[in-house]
Amino acid sequence: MGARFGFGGHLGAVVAAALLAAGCAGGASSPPQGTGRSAVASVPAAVASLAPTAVATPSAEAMATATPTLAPAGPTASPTAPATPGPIPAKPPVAVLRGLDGPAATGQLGSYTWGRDGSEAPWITGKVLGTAAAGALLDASLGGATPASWTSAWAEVSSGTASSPSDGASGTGRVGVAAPAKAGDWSLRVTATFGPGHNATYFWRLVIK
Amino acid sequence: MTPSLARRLVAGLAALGILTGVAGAALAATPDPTLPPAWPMDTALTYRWATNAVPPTAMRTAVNKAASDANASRRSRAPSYSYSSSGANGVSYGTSNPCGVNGLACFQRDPADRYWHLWFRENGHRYDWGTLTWCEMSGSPNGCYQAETITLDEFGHVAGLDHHVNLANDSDYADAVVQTYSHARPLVGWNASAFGRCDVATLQQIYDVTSWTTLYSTCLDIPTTLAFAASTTQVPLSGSVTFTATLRANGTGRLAGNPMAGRVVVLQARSNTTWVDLLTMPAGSTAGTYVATYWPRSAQDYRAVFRKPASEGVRASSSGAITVSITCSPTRCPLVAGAATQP
Repeated sequence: MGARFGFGGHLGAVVAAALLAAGCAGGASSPPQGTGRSAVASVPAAVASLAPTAVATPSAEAMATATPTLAPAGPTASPTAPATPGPIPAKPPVAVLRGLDGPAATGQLGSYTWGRDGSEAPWITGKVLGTAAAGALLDASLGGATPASWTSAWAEVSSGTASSPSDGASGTGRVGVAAPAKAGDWSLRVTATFGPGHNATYFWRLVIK
Repeated sequence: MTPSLARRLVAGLAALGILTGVAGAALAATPDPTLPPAWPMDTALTYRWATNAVPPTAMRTAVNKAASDANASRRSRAPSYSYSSSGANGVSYGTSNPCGVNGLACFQRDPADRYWHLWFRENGHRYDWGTLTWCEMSGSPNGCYQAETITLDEFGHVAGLDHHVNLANDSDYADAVVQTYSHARPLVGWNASAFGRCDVATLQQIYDVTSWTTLYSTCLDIPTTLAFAASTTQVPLSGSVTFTATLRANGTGRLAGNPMAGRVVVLQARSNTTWVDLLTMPAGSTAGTYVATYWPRSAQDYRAVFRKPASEGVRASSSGAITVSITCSPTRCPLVAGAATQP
């Protein structure tokens, strides 16, 4: 129960997927098509006949070990062992939020990508699905499936529309979030990733007391 | 560890005074995740209006605009899109669709079978949270969804992009069109008509850049290498030396070893302990090379420098130094500054 900060495998999976999708990783790239590949400069004849005889070793900065061109993964703290994600369900699972004042509430399924399928949706507010005490610990079950990673955010609802979201918890494995400390009409967004190309976003509109 | 999780952890540690100097980099935008598998490079994807599901005129126009938007902004060898009455794949509009219960639009893709399809829900569709209004069909009232932008999002998915992972407060929403949730008018990004920089970043990683002069997305952070050579290390007085610098992107996957043409590479000389710019090196005959001839007047160290451009997601680099000395006989060499042109 509650948010946990684990160093899950999502970023690694993203990098791996990027390399896999890119095909061969080694060697020089194939020359791209289009213009401008071979810039032809006017070189004096005297220069053209001269062959380079000295080659400078690039500086240490220039020869720095190639780093992934994805954004840095954050602080260089030692990663903890990530939660083991479960098998990927055949379709986006149903998400149920517990820890409310009343019965558990089924979340609204928003956007998802799921293998060869995907769907686009807005930030869904809709009807109030439940109430919770300010600061209450809530957890979402995902049809028995364990996500590789998840993120969450809260947004106050005004006139039925979600405002700019604020930071929520994130982690790996079981989904656990804390209700806002401020009472009011809120919308919770949880995005769960189950593997490359398998993620789904869920929404609950809640009254926090 | 997810990028979002990393951002949160850094923010927390910074607040505790534990972490310094790293927060800025760790909170930077990140390229979209990928949606494998990819298409072959330069794939031309054609679409037709699906039989019995032909979109209204305004929607057809929006889809075609989105195709042009995708083609113009991908800056990579990612798939291109075009309409053809005999197009291989379909675009559908209406009540019959496989979209999620709350979906505005949806897609299916299977590059292995060269298959993809888009569906758009009908204007006026009622959800339990509201009614769908397509901007292009309704005069663009607040709360409508721009079909051109949603289509561009779908084209991004078809090309192999997954939903962008935004910062917690969505302040980077405009960095990507392929988003976890769509914005209605007038929220930021509601009418985007080009791939965002973080969409382009992943497209470039998957499919490579269009040409060696294509700028790398600012959502990337690619190291570069700058090799440097001199035609000679000893010149007679009034003699010249030709320097050749070779600039390459040192990214991963398809971005490994790419020549970088059309950039600014500067030749420097060291005076005492200070490096001083001498000239901007013109492009050489081979992509990624920069060649300059110089007439030194005294022994000096030379190097090439590539400074980080503001408009590109690459890092600066500098070459190692080469010492070029003057051979003077029989008298001592005069102490005169060198020249970029023959005296």
